[in-house]
Amino acid sequence: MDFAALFPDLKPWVQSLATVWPAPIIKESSWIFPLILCTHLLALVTLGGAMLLPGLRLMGFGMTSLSPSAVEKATRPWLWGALIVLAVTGLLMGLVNPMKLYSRPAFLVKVIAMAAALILSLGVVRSVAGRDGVVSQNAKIMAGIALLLWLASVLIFGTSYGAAPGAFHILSVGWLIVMAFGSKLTRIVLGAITAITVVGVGIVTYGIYHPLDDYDLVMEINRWTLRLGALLIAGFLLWEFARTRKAEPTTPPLNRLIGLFTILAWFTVAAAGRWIGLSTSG
Amino acid sequence: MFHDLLQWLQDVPGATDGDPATSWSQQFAGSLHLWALTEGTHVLSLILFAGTILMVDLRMLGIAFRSVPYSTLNNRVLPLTIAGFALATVTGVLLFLSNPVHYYHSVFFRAKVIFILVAAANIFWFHYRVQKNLAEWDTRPSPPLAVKLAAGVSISAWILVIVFGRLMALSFFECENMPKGTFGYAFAECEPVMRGIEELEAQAAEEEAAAAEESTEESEPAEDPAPAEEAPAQQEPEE
Repeated sequence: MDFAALFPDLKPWVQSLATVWPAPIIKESSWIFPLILCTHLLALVTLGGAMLLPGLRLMGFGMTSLSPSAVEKATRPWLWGALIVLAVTGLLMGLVNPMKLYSRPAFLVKVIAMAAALILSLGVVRSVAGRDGVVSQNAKIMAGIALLLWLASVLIFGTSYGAAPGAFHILSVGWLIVMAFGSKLTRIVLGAITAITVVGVGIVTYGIYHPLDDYDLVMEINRWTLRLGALLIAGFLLWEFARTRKAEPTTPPLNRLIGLFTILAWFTVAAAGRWIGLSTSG
Repeated sequence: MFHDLLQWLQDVPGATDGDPATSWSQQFAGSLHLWALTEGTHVLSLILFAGTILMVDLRMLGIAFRSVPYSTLNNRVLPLTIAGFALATVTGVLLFLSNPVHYYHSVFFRAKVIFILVAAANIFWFHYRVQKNLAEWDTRPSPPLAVKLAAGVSISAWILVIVFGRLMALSFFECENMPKGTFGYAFAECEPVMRGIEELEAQAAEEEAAAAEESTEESEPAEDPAPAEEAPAQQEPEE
């Protein structure tokens, strides 16, 4: 699914965007476009710091010596600054290649995930952090809407031809956050699910499935992915045993979920943005 | 010296029957999704790595988190930075190995490495010199000039690392596009690259001449032989 499929009538307008000021100037120049690309990336990094700290604080990690509201307040100007720079540079990049964004599912994913992330960061996190952990009725409703939007974006990400592999980023980011910050029970459950998945895929790859010669290369990569997956699990098991036991996080589960999904939503926006370039038109 | 070693790394390990296209490096570069996922992970790891460094540097500059002692912020955020750095390094090394010769002769890759070293030197300098009298300024909203200087160097160096990293994916200042005698040509040690291209061209011309001799028909004017195959970093459609 992409914007071209949703709004086919807009095609002439989208095509005409490439001639709108300042797109021709950017295209003429050899250095303005790279400058925009670099600025967009630097603003993304700033956004990263400014959304991670309040998100993690709601999960009960990171800057726990400050109240959630203090962390949210300290990072807010940087969040807003980064968002403004990202919007301006993003719009300019879009003006230069409007048809690319129009025809690629990754851009639709990015827009929907962005709506979710904006609602979560600017609405829900601000409200919950501002009340130092109390989730108001309004915040719950906003979080519900954002969660639905985010789920829709991940669904499109994972099922769109070309962009689908990029959904792996979301899976791995979520997995890493839960394994690093989840409660003991959550970590055991997720670890078990992962081990079962890797063993299952291993049985299918080595035992049941007999590939044709054409698929040898893919299967070779598959085998390497399995070996790496097994290594990763072994590493995490070691870490589980080696790390000093810390007290379980004391923040309420709902706050922890809000923090987790805010971070995940922003990573979805960033990953989909990268896959606009890495994928092809749907 | 490194050129030959990296050429070997790109062509030989993992290759079956001496075919360079089957080496690990080139299989990875030509993989269906693995290369793109590694590159995507490299970019996303920046959010964790550089995003957290930025927040600590802003505290050192006295701009953000002024009410928090520096040591508290640093202790809480450093694990995230280290995790991000580990991820960025692993994926970065893998990406380099996907096309080592190309990156080795990339102006931007070399600039990036230089500024990674600058950032690392700054960390050591800060750690051993400035942090010695940490107790004096730890809780001050605006730390002394030496601390601010270290933070300024850190922010500037990491910004340049990210910018050069981004530019590596574009085709500016590649050896084929730089005239001999320019700074970039010397900086990227383009000599062996151009020699390789010339050898390929000469070989292609020879083959064409041999083919023309064999055929009695009039041959078409020789077209420019295609230079070295496209690097994965250039696959990105940045039209």
